[in-house]
Amino acid sequence: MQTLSVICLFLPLAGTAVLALANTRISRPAAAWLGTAVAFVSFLAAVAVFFQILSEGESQRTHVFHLYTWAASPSFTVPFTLQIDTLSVTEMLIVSGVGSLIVMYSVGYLHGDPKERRFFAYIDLFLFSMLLLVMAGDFVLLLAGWGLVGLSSYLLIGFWHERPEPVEAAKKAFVMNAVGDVGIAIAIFFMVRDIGTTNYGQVFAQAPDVWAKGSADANWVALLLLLGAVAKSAQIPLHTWLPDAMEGPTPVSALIHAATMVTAGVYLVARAHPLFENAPNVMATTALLGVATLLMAGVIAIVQTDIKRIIAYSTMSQIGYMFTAVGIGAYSAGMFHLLTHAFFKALLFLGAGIVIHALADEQDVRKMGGLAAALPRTKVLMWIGTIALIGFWPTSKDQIMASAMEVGSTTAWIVWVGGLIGALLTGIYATRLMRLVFYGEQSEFVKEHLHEGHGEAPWVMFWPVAALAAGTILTGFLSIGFGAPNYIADFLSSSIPNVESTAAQDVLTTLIAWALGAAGGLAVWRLYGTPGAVPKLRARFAPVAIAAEHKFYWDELYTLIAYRPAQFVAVTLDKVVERWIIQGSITALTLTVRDAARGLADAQSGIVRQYAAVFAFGVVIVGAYLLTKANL
Amino acid sequence: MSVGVVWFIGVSAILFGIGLTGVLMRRSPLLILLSVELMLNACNLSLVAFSRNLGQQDGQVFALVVMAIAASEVVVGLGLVVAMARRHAELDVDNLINLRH
Repeated sequence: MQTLSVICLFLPLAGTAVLALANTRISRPAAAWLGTAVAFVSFLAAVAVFFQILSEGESQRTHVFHLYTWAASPSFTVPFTLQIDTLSVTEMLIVSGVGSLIVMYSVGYLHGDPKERRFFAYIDLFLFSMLLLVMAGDFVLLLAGWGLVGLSSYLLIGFWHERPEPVEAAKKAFVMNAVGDVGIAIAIFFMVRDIGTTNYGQVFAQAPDVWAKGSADANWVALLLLLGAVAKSAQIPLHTWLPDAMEGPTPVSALIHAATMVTAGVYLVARAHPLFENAPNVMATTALLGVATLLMAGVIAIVQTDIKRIIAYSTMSQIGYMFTAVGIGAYSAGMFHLLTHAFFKALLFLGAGIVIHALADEQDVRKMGGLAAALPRTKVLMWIGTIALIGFWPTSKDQIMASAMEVGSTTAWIVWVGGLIGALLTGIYATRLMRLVFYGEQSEFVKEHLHEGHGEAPWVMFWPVAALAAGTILTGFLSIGFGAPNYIADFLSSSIPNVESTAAQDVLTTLIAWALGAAGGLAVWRLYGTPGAVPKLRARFAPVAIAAEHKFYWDELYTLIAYRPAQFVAVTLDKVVERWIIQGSITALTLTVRDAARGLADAQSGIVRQYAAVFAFGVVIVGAYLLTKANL
Repeated sequence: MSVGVVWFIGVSAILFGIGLTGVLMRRSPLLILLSVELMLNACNLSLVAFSRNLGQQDGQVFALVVMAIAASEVVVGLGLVVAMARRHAELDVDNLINLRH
């Protein structure tokens, strides 16, 4: 199993190395297929590991492989350790499985791009980083993976660096993620100080003894880890980078900013659950941040006009659900939603990619419409994704709220209510997207730009999307709820605990959520069918609509509290310290030396009698001095 | 009666002053050389006077050395003056400022 894990982890890195070193020596299609092949082989290795773990007994499913010692000092060592258990193998399957489908889709999407080879090198680097993050058996190694996914995310958001917007978006994502990275780093300092090691097993075993439950230190550790999770997973208050990250190529949005990297925060909370359970207040904070994010992002998604940004806000909202799940202790429910979301959100993004591709890179939904006739198969696939997003099937979202009912604390009831309101919002924005893109009259823009005979996407783009649709439907059976066997929770039980909701709670929550989602969807459908109804409704809720269109002014807030002060400090330092003190002192020094040199140069007149006079004068002075000393 | 050493020193000082004034005031290199000779001889006078006063021979020997040096100096100085005259340069030391640059 160790060999297979190492193959799964390092093969994508080898792919990156080969692509980077071979450069133009291999053709573009060869580079693209090589990038895809390593992802698929990595996935096969992950599948093999999965079956090995499945064949083992419940109690022997956690494996720790010590590969070598990464850094050593007399009192503290960082080993390169992989921890393969049910939680990490689930993530490995998601990352490499969904990852290889998306890389394959990229073969078609990036076809003909001048930087095609670089794209596949980057995306393989991302796969390696993400696998390192989920397979690490040590917090330092986790942080290394955490930072590397941030780097690959930065490289891929800014992939089209000829335009200014992707570059800005990449910088924004990197800086906001760095805030989170610092949080995790400080949490690691706490572990080194109080426990003396950072590997998962020892930290989780000793944490409750070293840090008393609910004590300041316990809260700090959990809160700092939460800071990292919040930044990576685009939750309030560090969420503003995610919509901008949509400037990257669509497969990148699907893989990094929907299926895998942004859900790493959920994985972190689930992985470090002993630390979070040691700090109940931080757990509650996690859940409440999730509720706030899922509601806010849901409202913003309703008024967005860019197809990818709608899905991005939807992602933010769905990750909010996952945060509420891990915040109330329903870790398996959160991981299950992570799994289904990886499939259906990648599906929606790649479907949107096909639409964007067909319309010559147009992303504004107001210019779309009536595409159902032109893209019938894409329409069907997108419907599968939309139905999954609203929560009809799989019912992963409803199970989170059913678990909240079972938990029954105040926080849990806030989660329950917020989640149900979120279901209504999801119904509205998801249906609005489908209605605007695929139905109604074909707009002038569509008639002009839709390539005649272009039809559906090429097979290399279509089949991965179809596979994701199949995955969406099939993963739903892993946990149906209503008292049916919960395979995913049983499998994960050796790594993370779960909250078992009763069948009655499942039925009640699911029915309410379905009803709300359907109501939202039908209302939107009718609204957009009635001419003039949408502007009228918007006028009625003008303040909310305007605030939502401005994304609730978070960017403005950060400009005000972070960017402006930083700029002020920088400008002041430049004016005072740099220009005045540093440059000024050097200028003054040079001027002084120059003037002194000029004065001395004037003394050298070349007139012999002057020299003689000075000489005589000097002799007189010396003579006078000697006379005063003389003992006459 | 013997004349006190103070008189010799007085004459020597006066001669030295005249010589120094000549060096500072005159512009002709020839006259400057003459003035320098005057200053050197003023020194010689005082050296000899002190030698005689103290009854030691060192001062007289030193005066001979000064004369030798004065002769060498005149040779170099007059050589310079002749060189200047050959180049039809005006005999004025204030014009000799070319080395400044």
